[in-house]
Amino acid sequence: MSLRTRRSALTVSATTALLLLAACGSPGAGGASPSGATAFVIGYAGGLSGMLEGFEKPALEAAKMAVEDINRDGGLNGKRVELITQDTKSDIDQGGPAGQALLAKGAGALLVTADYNFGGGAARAAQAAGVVAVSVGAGSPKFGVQGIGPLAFTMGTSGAGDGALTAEWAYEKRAARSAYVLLDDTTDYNKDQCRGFQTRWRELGGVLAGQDTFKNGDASISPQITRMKSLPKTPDVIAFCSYAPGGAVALGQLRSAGIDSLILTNSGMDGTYWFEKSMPELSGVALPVSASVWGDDPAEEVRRFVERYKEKTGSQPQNMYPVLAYAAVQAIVQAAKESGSTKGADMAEAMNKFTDKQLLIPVSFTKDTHIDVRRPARMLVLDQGKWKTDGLRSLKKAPPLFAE
Amino acid sequence: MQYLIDVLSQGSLYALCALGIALTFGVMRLINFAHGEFMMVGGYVLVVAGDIPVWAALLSSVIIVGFLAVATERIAFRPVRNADPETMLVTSFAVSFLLQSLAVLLFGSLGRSVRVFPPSITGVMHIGGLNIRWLDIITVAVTVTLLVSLMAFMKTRHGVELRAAAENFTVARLLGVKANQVIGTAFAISGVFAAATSIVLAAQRGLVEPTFGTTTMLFAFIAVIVGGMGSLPGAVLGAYALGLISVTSQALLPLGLRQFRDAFIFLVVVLILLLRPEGILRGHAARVRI
Repeated sequence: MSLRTRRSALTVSATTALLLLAACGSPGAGGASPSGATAFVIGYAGGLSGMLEGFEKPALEAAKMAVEDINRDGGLNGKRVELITQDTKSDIDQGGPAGQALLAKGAGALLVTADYNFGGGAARAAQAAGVVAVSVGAGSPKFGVQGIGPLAFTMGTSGAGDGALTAEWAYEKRAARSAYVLLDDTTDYNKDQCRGFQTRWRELGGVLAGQDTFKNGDASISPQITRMKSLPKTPDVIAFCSYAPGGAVALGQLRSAGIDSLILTNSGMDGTYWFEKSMPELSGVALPVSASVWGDDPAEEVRRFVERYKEKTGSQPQNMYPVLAYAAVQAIVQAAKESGSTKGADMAEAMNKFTDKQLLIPVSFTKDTHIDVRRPARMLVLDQGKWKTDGLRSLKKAPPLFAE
Repeated sequence: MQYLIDVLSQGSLYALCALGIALTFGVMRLINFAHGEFMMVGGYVLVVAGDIPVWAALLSSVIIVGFLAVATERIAFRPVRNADPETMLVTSFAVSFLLQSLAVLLFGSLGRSVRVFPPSITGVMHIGGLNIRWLDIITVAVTVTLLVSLMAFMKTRHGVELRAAAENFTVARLLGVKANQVIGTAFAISGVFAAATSIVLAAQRGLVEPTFGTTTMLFAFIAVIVGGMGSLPGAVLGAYALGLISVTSQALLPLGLRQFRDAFIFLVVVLILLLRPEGILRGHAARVRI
């Protein structure tokens, strides 16, 4: 390409970009909501294609179910609720523009990706426009007042809380006394989980036999296994702060190296897809979730929802995100009902007052904490390739939400 | 000693992948970023193969990925063969995105678990206080076998043509080497190496997802640069060097610094390149300034 054609190509691209910005950038440019004043529109900005689609598409299906149910029961104060979507293509940079596009189409509230970084862009766009944004499961305490603004909420639970919960469960129910901490330091959630575990483990009087790190993309964790194998005694439990796919790879390598310690992990390792062929008889993995999708959740509503989801989509959910997404839609509509307003600030104020609000799962927020720290967790335990719920557990003592 | 086994295993994996990348760079000066996706396709072939006999699954993977590599050359790279290297680079990114998107479309983004070898050969052997995984032995054995086969191939007529093309493509063509044929051969061999890498990687990971080959491909690419762009022995040397740096940083760095492991690895890579800007062994293809 010659310099001149390159320059003119640049000019054309720049002009196109400016035109596009002008078209999508200003809120309201897209006109009123699809059904005018008779509908309340919820926008879903998520990775409906690309690497997050495995999480987002099931969540979207569940959000659609929630909207159908709400409309069947009379909608929101006489208005129909509508759900519109915008694909972020699983690209962090597309989060903001996707949020803008939904707001321009008249969205009165947003549902965003279950991750602080991927969902933050759309949530910030909503915050700037005075609209509430609810993440369908981000596990960062920053997803709220501290990191985005007073109009951002997440249905997820914190990494520190999840880690602490596994420490209490293993110490009390499994009489575990020695632990090894294996941290995949790729995400802040993982770091929080290991921090929460260590804090509670020490408080409980457990022994920390050692710790190590790896990366989610590592093809092999042989050096880490070699270090762990050099311990005089195999630890009772391994606090395993990672997520699939990298977490699945590392966990498989631990097991094939003959390390049989109980593995304490998080909802990022929920599902059967990552081991059903490679380790069909896998046992000894435990993790806390807000809802079990494996048919034995203690709450009847959750069990019924999972059955309906399976009937509707013809597939088994692989994690709790559909449940959280359903509850997120309920939370938005409930906040609008309780405040009698669809203004972001009024809805947020109503949500700040949620204390064990009984939606599909209980939801609690406060003025400063927009992540649920009260919700009892279900401990899922993997036994012979099957996830089983080991009752409900609430934290006895919560570690600090933020690292000091 | 245990760490040495880890180095050999990791280095062999990088070497398998690096050879595939170095081969196409040698003849075409193409940095093929779609090589990781060739590996990903190989992984999904093993997933789809399911319960058929192991040898049949492995053979299918090699044939399909080999064919894919040749087809990609024919459809995507041949039309831009004489274009700027950056055009070819962008084309390889396009192929990579296309294959990844297809994988998401066909198999979803969550990944599929896979068992390549029967459980009897995925365990650990204890020899004199050492833990040797069967997979480590398979990884090293596959690498050595393919390396020896490649060296033998390079002595045949097609191999000599390939080396001649890598040395000086224009002169080789003037001397009667058929461009299409020699490049097609390079891609086919590169595909076989991608399939072999995918088999070893799938056995080690037990999971195949759309980004299956990406990290290994990036490390192998760095190994190719460290070893000397376009030099096959350089690629192997670079791969084992990278395996050594990677395992020793993980083993020796204190806990607080271990999260910066990759930064240390790349720091060593930068130091090597400062001392030898053209890599440990300088490749012929890199000698001609682009």
